[in-house]
Amino acid sequence: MKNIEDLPEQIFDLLAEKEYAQLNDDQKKQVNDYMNSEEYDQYRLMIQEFQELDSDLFVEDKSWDTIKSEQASLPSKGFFNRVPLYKIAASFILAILTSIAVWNTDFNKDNVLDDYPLVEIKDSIVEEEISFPIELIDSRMEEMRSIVQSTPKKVGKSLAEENYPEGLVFQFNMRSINSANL
Amino acid sequence: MQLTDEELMNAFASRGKDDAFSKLYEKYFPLLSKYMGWLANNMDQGKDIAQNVLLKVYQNPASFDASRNFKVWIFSMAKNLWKNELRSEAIQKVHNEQILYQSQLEEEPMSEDDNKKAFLKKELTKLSENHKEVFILKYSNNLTIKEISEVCACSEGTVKSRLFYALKQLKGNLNLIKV
Repeated sequence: MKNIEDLPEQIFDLLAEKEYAQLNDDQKKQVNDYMNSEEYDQYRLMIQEFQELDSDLFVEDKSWDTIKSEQASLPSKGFFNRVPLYKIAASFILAILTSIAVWNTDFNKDNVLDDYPLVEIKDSIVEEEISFPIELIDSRMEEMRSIVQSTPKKVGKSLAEENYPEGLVFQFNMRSINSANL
Repeated sequence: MQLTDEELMNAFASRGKDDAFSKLYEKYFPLLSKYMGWLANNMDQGKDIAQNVLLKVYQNPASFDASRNFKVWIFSMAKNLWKNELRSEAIQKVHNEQILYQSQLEEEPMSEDDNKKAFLKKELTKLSENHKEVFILKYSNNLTIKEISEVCACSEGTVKSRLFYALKQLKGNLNLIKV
């Protein structure tokens, strides 16, 4: 069987008009590509029954003038019957959101930031002059030089036997700096 | 000389000729009623939708594009209106449950012929909406394959395929009665 989508439209029309035996040779040849004679007649019978059923359906034959006068006598639909409810709700929500957005823009003189005042940043860095006791170090260095020069060099003794002159021991402490009157 | 549907609609739209619209109404109201009635499985609902479609056309004639086929245009409009109706839950329940003329059939004693028709109606409701629609448009409203493809917004091949499937389905189920 060929592809149904290629079925000639004429076959669908023939099904409603003629029995298989009434078809001419060309029409039979076309039909045979898609169905046999028994199937054709069954389809035809079914379509006939449907069309009989369809024609039995009674549809009131009201004239257009009658319809018009009936429509004219009806009360006019209110706004809410013409406009869908969801559109009204959506417009309402959009209006609320827009008003909130406008309220918070520059057009509004009340500044939200007024509730949060800026903290004043003060310059907390204090420059202090610190004088380094250079004079104290210089004097101590001089003392050490004089001690080194005056101390005789001893040869042949172990370090454990040597007595280190206390003058060479550099004692650096806050008391000595403070006493230097900074 | 008989005017075409497009000419009648243009006469109404451009010159406000009510009698032109009246002719269109007399032609299309029964067709649209049956189309909608079969889709909705409810003839009364079908008539309501058909009336609403024609009222919309009457109230807004400028919406018709003169270059279009009037028949395709009005059937497409009816289909869109039907889809809007379907969105309503209540109508969808009725659509799923109702069989056309069921109460009438239950009251009267049925002949073999009536039985067959009743079965055919029932089998039609079982078809999917796509298949039922093309079947109705072809064999109730006599639209061409091209016109059906425009109303259903699908290719002509798809229309043929759906139509053939609908025929096969209905034939198969009807054969079961005979057996």
